[in-house]
Amino acid sequence: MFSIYSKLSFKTKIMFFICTITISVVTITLQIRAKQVDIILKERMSFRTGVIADIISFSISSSEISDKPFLGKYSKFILNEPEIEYVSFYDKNNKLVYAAGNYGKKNIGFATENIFNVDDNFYDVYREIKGENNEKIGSIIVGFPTQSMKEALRNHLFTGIIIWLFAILLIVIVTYIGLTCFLKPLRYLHEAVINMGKRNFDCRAPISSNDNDEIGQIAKQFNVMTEELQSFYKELENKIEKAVDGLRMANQKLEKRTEELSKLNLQLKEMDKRKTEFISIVSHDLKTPLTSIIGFADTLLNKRLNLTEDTKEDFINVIATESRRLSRLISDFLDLTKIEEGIFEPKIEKANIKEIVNRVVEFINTKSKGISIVVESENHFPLMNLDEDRITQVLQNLLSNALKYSPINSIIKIVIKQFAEEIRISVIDQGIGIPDSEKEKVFQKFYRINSDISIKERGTGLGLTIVKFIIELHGGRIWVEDNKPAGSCFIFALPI
Amino acid sequence: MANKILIIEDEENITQLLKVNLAGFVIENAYTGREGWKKISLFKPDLVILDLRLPGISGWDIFQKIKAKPEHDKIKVIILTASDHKENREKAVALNVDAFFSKPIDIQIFVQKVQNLLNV
Repeated sequence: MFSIYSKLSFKTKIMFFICTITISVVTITLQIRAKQVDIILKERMSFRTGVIADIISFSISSSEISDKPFLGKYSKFILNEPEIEYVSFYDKNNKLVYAAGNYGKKNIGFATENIFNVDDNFYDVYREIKGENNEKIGSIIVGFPTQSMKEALRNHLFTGIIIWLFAILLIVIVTYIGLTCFLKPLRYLHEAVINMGKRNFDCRAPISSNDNDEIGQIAKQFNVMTEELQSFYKELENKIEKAVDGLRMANQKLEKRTEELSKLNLQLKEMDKRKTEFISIVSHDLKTPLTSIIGFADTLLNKRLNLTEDTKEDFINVIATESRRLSRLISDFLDLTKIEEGIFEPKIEKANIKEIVNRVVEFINTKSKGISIVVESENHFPLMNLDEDRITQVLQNLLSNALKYSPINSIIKIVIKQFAEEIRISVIDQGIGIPDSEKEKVFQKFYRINSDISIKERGTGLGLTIVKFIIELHGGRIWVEDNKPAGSCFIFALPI
Repeated sequence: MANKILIIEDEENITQLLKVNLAGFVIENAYTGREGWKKISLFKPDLVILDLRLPGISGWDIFQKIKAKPEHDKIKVIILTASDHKENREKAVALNVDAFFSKPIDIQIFVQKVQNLLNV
């Protein structure tokens, strides 16, 4: 029961309440009214019938009461009156003298019936007939039919029910329309509240200036509240957005930092790997000539081998060559270590590049392969700021590479040329050249081109790395081009 | 008939050193892994002196190729390397290499080992 009640809408509840009260009131009112009408009609009937009975009783004298023919005639006259159903006359001893009409009466009571207690269709009025001295000479009973009265009462009841039904209908309709009208703002308010629940703060409860009742007041207050809430929410959103922005930025920074750190970590790992690799390569490269030196020295000392003088000389040459290789290796490794630790410092002085080139060419041994070195240059070059020893090292390195890869009886050309802001020195050979894919890689540490020559004549794999570093230390650059039709061309440029 | 030795070593001087000290054996040599592998089938050596760092096929690859063929079952292998990596030494033990020498070597001991392996 309660659950059904709780499911009903507010409007239904009010309607139910108002309808119940009004219907009860109307019903009670109509019932009271019906009772009153009943009383009035019955009293009126009692009064009227009393008067009629009085007239009849007064109109009979003492002589006439026992005169039956007169009474018969008189009864006929009386019964002409449609409202009288029957009449009976009695003498002073209550003995029936004459009766006329549809007298079908049950037991006779010598008293006027109480109109409110009539239990059949007839109302009996009793009157005594008085003589001259006001003594009782007889009595009459007049029977009035109650049918018409009852009919009137029935009609009235019917009308009452019609009115009652109409009233109920009217009440229901009026209440419904009225409630719909009154509760409309409440419905709008409800919709607005739902919207607000969905965070749609742009929604307002519609109000007109006339809405000054409680609902209007609530709606107005609600709108004020919504506005407050909207601005609060907006402010909150802004704050959150700012906070989120801050967080996002912090997160980005963190991500960046993490990335940097992981990159650094990777670099460190890479460095560590390269260090291990470096040590492994260095130890390998140092051990190889060392093995030859020790091995050949031991062989020379081994008297059982009976070596000839020529062979011994060959072995001594090997020892000498391998010792020089060892020395070169060590100095290259030291240079590289200095470069990597950032302590490779050039001694910059004013120097003439052409003189340096000529000196290097003069001391290089080209006889074994029958190679001639040609230097092409203009006569005068400005003095340059450079480390003479290091640039000499660069030239020796490039030239020894060129010699290594040059065919027998070929020409190596060195070209010195001045440009607007730099002097370029090219070392050009007629060897096998360097494929495009390896033109940059040749400057990488321990990088060796895979070829028969590089297998036979092992370098350190560090020469060009050191060369590039020295050139860059002078603010210059170095690169490789092809020599047409064959060979490679190493060019380095030093700023003037 | 003299025992045959194949030296697979990319350093010319080392090859020469070994040849001089191993006089009396029939010796062939190869500078690259590929050349060495070819000569194993052609020359049918009794002993191979194998460098690990070789251009082309590495020393370990050659070793595994030798061991994979049943006809090469009898070939003794001496590894001669400049690398002193622990893994190489461990690998040599694990793969039952006949001898492992790390450069620089004592040439007398090396020759002794070769002779021992060939029962000379």
